[in-house]
Amino acid sequence: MKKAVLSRAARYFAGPEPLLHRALEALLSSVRPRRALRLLPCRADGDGARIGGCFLAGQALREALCGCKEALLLAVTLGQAADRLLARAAALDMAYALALDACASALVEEEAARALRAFPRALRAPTAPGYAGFPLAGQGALLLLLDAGRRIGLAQTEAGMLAPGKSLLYVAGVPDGEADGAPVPAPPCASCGRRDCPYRRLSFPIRP
Amino acid sequence: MLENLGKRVCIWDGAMGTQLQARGLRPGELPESWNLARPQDVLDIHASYLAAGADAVTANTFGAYALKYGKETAAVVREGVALAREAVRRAGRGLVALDLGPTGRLLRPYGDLAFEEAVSLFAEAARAGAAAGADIALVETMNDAYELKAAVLAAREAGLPVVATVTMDETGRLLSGADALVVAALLEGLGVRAMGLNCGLGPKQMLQQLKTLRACTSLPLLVQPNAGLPREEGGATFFDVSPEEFAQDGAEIVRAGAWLVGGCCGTTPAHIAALRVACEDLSPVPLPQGPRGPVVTSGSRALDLSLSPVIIGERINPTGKPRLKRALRAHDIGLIQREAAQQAERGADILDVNVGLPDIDEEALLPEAVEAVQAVCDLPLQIDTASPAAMEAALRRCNGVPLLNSVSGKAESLKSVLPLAKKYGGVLVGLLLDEDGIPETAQGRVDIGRRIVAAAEKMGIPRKNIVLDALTMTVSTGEDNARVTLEALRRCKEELGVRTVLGVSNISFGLPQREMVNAAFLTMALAAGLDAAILNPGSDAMLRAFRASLTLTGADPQCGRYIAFAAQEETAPSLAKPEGAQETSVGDAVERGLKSAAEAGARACLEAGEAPLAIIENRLMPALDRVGAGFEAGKVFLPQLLMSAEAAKAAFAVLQQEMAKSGGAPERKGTVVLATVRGDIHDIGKNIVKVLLENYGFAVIDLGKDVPPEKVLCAVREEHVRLVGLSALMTTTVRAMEETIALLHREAPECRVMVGGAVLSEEYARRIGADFYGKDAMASVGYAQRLFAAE
Repeated sequence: MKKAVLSRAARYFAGPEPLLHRALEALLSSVRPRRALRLLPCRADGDGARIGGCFLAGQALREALCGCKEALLLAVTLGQAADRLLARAAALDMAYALALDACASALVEEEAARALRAFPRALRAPTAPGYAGFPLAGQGALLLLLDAGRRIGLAQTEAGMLAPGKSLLYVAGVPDGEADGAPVPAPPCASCGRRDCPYRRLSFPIRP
Repeated sequence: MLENLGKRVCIWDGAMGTQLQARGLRPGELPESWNLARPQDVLDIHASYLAAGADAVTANTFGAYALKYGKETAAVVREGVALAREAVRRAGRGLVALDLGPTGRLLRPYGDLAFEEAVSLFAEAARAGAAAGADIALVETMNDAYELKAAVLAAREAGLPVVATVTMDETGRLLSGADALVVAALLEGLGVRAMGLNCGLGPKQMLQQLKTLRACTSLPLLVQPNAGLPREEGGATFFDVSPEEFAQDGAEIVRAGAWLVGGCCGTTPAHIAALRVACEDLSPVPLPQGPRGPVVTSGSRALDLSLSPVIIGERINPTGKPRLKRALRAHDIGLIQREAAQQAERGADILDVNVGLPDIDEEALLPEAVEAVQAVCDLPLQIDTASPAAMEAALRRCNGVPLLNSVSGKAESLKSVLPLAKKYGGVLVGLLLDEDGIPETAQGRVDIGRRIVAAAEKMGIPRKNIVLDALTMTVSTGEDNARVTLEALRRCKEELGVRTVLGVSNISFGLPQREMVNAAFLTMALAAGLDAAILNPGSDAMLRAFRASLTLTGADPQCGRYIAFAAQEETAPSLAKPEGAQETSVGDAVERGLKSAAEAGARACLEAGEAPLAIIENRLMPALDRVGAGFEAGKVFLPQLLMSAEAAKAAFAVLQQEMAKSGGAPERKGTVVLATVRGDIHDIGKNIVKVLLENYGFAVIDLGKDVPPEKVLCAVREEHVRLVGLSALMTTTVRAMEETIALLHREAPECRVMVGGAVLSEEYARRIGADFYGKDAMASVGYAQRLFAAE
């Protein structure tokens, strides 16, 4: 786990490795990642899709779920402790704070990647509200369907930001009849043209 | 029922949501809307639980807040309570609980819901519920201690007795990190009638959490487990524990100490009926004692002051600190947060927060400072003010159970402060002085302590929640002063059975080598039984005296903490002679991002006779420029840039100290206000810009994150600022950035605005009216340099 997180974090943080190691140790001793997963019936519907009876607009969502009768909803968060740790580091040493931020992003991504890899059925490329073709307005419904507030303490702000800050939310189609062990495709960043975006998420490793 | 608590086991009802779903509640449909749309179904559900033997029913108001129901809220709540009331009337028995669940939003600083906004949401529901005839409020399913506090306060202020339950995970913590002791101390302080657990776990798993919670409180306990752990199938959730099994486990829960039991998700009237039968012959177990000593907490961490002496960090106090004074006046939270974080790093157990300044709105500023500290530390706080209004404002916003510093023996003080301690909880610091001043004798001080304890107990504040301060008087003005203080301290402990606190450093006022005297006095005070020492954790001498004294007084089992402290000291780089200091010049150290070496290099330059300003101009700034140029050229990356900045900051600190000795300070090139805009809670970009601007000689007023436009304007006006930097992460918050720019251009046209953030581009920045788009942090520094140089 540590190795995988460090390898992801190193792509965000081009600084000295020992600083990254120190940050990851501090992070792992202070935070406990939590995840909420739910498999719900879905179908393409008009300009979007219906998941668990709720309509969510978005052509990209429709495409992501096209041909799937079920959708996997996944939320992961590092919780309030990670935000507090980051704020404290920022008050003391910004270089260290940057390393910690990289580790926190990497950890939440790795948790999500592991959850998707551990899912026993094939999955389509995950998508997320706020990415092209999937309006952010759909985020609230996904959080409700996941009961994410009660289960993992994840909410959204009025502006649609996930809170706590180091959190992820994905929807992935579960196609019928595809064999287990098919590769988990890349997350939505892969289809985005802005290569220099600092918030760009890395591809999930291919399922072995 | 509340009056008869403890005489018989009380049975609460089961799940409402499960029953509504069984009657056709659709995914995404708001459950409380059925109070108006399908009242008969709701009434029938209550009736079925009462028929099953429940003593209390919970109105269908769990999430009935203005966030979801807007202007309909009061009507939805009123109808929900009325339906429960009607069911009870028809049954001829039962108690009606207004249900208050979480709002679904996260409170600041982790989310964007302000604490008082949360209180208002709960208060609207609580007032409507009370008016509709609710007997009590059940605050439930809370997984964040701060939101729990907001809900309980609102319900209490609406005049309702409160029972509160939280949802813990299998490790015994709320999702916000609070453990059982935090929850218990918080709820006892807020005056709930009973507390407990609900949801999240089945009855078997909840049994262990109950035992843990019971060890932390002396209040009655309510337990409402789910009907097992949830299982998903075909998009639906199932709970597998049968009524019979649930009832057996429920009886076990009663035998383990719960006085009230009921059910949560997945439970049905059949579960409650079986539970009633299983508990029929059981009697409530006597209440436990609760923790021995006074307990203070943050939102996630508790500290029992009876277990071992603690350090209260004293640095957040503007007395004698001109920089902090300026920062407080400008609402610059950056310096407060740095002081808090540094003290936490140095081992403080509690942080004192004092913003008392002449001509300052302490009532507004103290809660602001409390929130700023809470965002970076999970240490309990000591709220330190002479103003009861400021004390109350800060007590409300404090996440956890603080020390209240202070009440004294003066009648006016007792009258104004004791009610605050009664309403909000907390551990009360009593100063041993009264209208006649500070008694010269130990006897006089103990007498005042006795009066404070008696007055507090009369108001229902337990003795264990009082900590007395015997008051340190300067030894240079009276040779007996230390002895009198220590005798008063010892006698207060022995005769009054309370804990003690002491601000240590006043003892040496007016003497040379103050630390030497302070450390000796601290050692003597700890030997006399001091429980909490208010001191500067940045002082090595004080920390050493504290750790060593604990070991010698038997308060450090197996000398464990001392050994850990000593090991840390041995491995910490010495500031005097760090490794490689000889070989590394201050400029090289900055370029290589070596903090300790940069400090040592600066010291070496001073020792060699160089003037501080010359070191800055000839060594530090050129080094920073070289790093900056490397960054621009793509040869140096952001981490190295920041490491250099931190190294330069460390060297600056050494030079500033030297300049302060002669009353000087480095000239600032200008002042910049920085803020992450309203609605935006990500501030790493803003923080990076701040560090670099400070390094290049700019004074920065850091307003933090989620900052409304008016607050930015206020800082600009008060400090006559010519440049503002705004940051926003998302397209949804760029709108707030645009509003802020428009306000600044309209009301402060001489002020320039630079912007940055992930979603911005030069063109977008121009479109929203910004004067400059910083593509990265160095670009912002460059703009500031050009702007102020032109002036």
